Amino acid sequence: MYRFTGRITIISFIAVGIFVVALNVNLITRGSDSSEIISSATPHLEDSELKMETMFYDRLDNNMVQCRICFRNCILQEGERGFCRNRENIGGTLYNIVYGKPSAIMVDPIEKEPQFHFLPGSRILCLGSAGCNFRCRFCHNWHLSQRSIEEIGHSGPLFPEDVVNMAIRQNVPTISFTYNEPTSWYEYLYDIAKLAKDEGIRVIFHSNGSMNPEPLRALLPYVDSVTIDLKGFTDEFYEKVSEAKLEPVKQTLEIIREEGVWLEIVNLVVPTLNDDPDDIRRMCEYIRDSLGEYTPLHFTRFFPNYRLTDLPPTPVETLEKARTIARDVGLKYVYIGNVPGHRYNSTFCPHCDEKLVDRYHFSVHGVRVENGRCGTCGESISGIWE
Amino acid sequence: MGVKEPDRVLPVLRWSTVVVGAGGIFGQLILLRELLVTFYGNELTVGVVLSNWLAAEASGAAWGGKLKRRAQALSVYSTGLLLYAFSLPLSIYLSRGSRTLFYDLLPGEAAPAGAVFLTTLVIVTPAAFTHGALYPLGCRFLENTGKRKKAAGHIYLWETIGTLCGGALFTLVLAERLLPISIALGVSFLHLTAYVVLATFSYMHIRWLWIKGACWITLGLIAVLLPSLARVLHETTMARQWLGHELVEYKNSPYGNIVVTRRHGEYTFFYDGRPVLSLPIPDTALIEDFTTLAASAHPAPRRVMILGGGLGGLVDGFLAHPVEEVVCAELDPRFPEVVAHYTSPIIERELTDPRTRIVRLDGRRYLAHAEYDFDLIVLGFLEPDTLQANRLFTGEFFTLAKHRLASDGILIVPLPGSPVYLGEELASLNRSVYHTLGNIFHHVVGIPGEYNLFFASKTQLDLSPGLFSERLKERDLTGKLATQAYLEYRLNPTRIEWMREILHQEIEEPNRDFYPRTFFYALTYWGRAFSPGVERFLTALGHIGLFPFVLITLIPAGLAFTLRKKKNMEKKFIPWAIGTSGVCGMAFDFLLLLVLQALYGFVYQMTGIVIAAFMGGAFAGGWWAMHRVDMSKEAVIFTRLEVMICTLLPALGSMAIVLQYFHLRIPDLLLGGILSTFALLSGSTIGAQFPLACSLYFQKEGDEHLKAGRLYAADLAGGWIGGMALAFFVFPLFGLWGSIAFLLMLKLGSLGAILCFFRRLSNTDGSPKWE
Ligand code: SF4
Repeated sequence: MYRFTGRITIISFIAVGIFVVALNVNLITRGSDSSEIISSATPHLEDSELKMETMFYDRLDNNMVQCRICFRNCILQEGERGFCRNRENIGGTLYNIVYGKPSAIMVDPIEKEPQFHFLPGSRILCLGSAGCNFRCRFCHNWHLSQRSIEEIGHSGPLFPEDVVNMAIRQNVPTISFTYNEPTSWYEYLYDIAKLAKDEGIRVIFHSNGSMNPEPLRALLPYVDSVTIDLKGFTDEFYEKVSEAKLEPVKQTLEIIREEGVWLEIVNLVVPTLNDDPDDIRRMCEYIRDSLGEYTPLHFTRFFPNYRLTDLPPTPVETLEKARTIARDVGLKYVYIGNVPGHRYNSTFCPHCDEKLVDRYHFSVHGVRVENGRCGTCGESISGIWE
Repeated sequence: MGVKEPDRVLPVLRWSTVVVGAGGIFGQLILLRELLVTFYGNELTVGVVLSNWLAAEASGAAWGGKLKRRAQALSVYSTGLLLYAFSLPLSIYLSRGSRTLFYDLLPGEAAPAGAVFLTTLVIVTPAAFTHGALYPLGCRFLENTGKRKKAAGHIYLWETIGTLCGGALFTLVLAERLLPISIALGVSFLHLTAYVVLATFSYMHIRWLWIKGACWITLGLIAVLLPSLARVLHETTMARQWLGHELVEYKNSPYGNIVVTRRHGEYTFFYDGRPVLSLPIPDTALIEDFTTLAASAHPAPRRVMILGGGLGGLVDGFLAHPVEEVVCAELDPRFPEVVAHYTSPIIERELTDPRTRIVRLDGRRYLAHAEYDFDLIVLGFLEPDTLQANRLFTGEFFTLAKHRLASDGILIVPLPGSPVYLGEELASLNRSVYHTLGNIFHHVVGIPGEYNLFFASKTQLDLSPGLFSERLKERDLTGKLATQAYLEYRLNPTRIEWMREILHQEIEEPNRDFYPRTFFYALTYWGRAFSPGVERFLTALGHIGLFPFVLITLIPAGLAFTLRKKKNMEKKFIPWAIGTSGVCGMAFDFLLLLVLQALYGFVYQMTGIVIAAFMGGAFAGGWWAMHRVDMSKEAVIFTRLEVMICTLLPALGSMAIVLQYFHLRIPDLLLGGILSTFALLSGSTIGAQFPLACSLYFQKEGDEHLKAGRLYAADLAGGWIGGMALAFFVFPLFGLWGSIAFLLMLKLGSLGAILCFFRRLSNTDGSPKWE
């Protein structure tokens, strides 16, 4: 018995040894597959130690910190990362670990944002990175937003002056922070916006609207326009679909309006989840009363994405009904997005109903706004046109 | 010991056993279809369902086996029939309601990949467990009639007859004509009838005439109400499955399941549970972008062929260009019939334009026989995460397409992509197709977008925005989307170069019919969104490779060789041999179906034939081994069967290659014949091994049950592990040949172990084999 178990042990040992050797030989001969995928035109520098101390946070006892950038106000122990995956408590100091590490840099048409009242037909230099402080089940950019910087790789270090110079070199008038949530790399956005202002380059960003008031007010003086996703108008929707809250978004919208920065709102209409006409009406009334009737509102069509792959696309009739509600409530600029060729891709004069910006999806066929006024009746058209 | 049952019950028992056999195969096939839809048409679900059915059925058999010792056989058996009558509809209900019953999902949110296993087990258990229990109960019942000796064989025979007839009936007659719930209720009704008939005989628990009368009247009422009951049940279960949708059409074709829903004037067409088309307004942005770029890539496209997803926008988009003909073949040739019912301006234009030709034939087959060459061959917006779709992304298909392209023709393949960022798994998916195309075409260019577009041609490709703009101007098509600025954005050389760099960062192995790399990457991409853990696990296994797994399978042979002189060691390796045969049994079934799907795309239809043929073979093999084998030669025969399994594995691969070569010419009937013959042969080989193994393993009469139980457990565990391993990683990672190599080494390992003890096993001098 003793000899038998002894043999079994030796044989098992040898077998495991062979397995481990084979495994390693296999791995070595295949080469390392761990190189990061880089998705931008800029060169990739690995192992960048670049990080920036978070601008708004509190130091707590025991080397703990509390982030004050977004509504979550994460309390982090040493070594922990925030909900957005982008901020880390290192030795009692909170760092933005994606600073200078964009993972996507592209030049897009501004209509893609969407920004319909801001230099129509112009191009924007878009930057995006990892991380987001929401968990939207339909996220279009989940490849970026729902991962950490280590998972997706980056093109950094790319310093703020590099970005501004890139825009100048490529003759792009506007820098846009989009693809992922700008809040989650606030310091980078702030530094670039400040620098860009000095260089005459404009800055816009597309956000879920969850920045805390203090950082938001600090940033807005350097920003020319903002697109905010107002994802729904019930707490339940925000909680269930995005693991977030509605109230901070409303607060953000109001602050942007207060600070006088151009604002456009996007509402992605998701069938069965946020297409209730009563909710849409309440949302429109809120926009009219708190943000003004000239605030552009985009109802965009949902297509199956990320985790909501089994839901049908939004019926165009639903979007048209939503638009009718918004117009009835008194909003002046209401668009239907993601439906190329739809009449309400284009901008119409709220006074004479003339077509002011003729759009087909991302293509602009003509602009009839002169000096910020309707080319036909002279009505003042809100937005930034030059 | 129960009370002896009257002899006149025998014909009823025979008939009810046939019903049980048919009910079992019906149950498997219905749930297989249901779960394919629940899990978005991924064929790997087949392996998971078959394995879990096997596990639950065997547990039922074990439970029934224990129960039979103490209970009244007739009453327990008939109660089992009654239970099955309810458990099959219950399983369907669970399957259709799984979205809300098992997960806290939002409407439209797909279930996580990791949940497939557990959910499937829970769903199939009520039906499979009850069905499993009916076999030993039937045996006990027959024993009670005095036919003790041959009870097991008789019941097995009648049940197998039921299985064979059921499989054929389901596949050839019922599947397409009746709703699954109607078939299930039909099965339930037959079980109820058997219950009532048997209950009539059971003087133990139904004594009074009026009770018997009431039973028959109830049965009659159920028969009358069955169609309406089926309709109500279908509607309520579908409402659960399609929560928040208004269901307007439900159809099963040999290729898949088609459902149409309506909401606010918009019809959405779901194929195997996924939305594939919306009318009257489809995804115009995607469609217009694609057709504009594809049609402008060619100087003068006259003949265009679209494979998969052509109707509902793509055909219309190409018709806008001065083409002579647009040929459209859908993945499911029945899909156009359904779409045609829902008129919309797009569909009307597509179907009434004389230049449109809708082919009601599998696209691959059509392309092989098309009378002329095409200027453009275009794939629709398909995702290669099913083998059915992957068939259009393989090297074999690209080669066929190359032959059917005119000299300056272009093949255009869209793939899930991104205009801004390609994550690792998305990059691998795109690389896999890019490099497969690169092996066949001299010129391949990828354009990044929401769907990345790959252009492949035998001649140089010029994708400059200026040229596209010129062509569009010539065709008077510049008015809408394709402005100069838009073309410059879409065909931006920096973006194209960015993508080229990513595509060249690594070389992926080419995607083949039987080595579906693209399918694997599509699964990991999908897994990334839903179950990052599963995705990481699969990727890690992919890095490890096949070699270490093969080494593990050889360990038992090494052990056997080392311990070959050790006393009593031989008996330790019989369960291993049976377990590995269990793995191979499941593998034959599953791989046959995957071969079928990779080549033809209609696994949905052929499953019944293949499973029934395999089970019939297993029965025939078992019967032959029990009745025709000279027990003094059982070790020799057992070893020969081991060799035969080892031979059948590469034979399966060879058959796949021959079928691949001829598959575009073989008629469906012949194909069914070939596959069922192979299933029969492999089933009989596996089936014959079990009785021989039992005989070799029995030490003495006293613990016969215990030993048989152990072997049965080994067989079952093998089948279950085999199905799971093949479905979850062996096939997706290593493809058909890798799977066969793995199984072959596994079986060679067990053969080696048996050979080490061959002399002792074949000891026929009358002395006990085990001391
Ligand atoms: S920015 Fe990130 S770390 Fe800071 S509070 Fe928000 S989620 Fe937490």
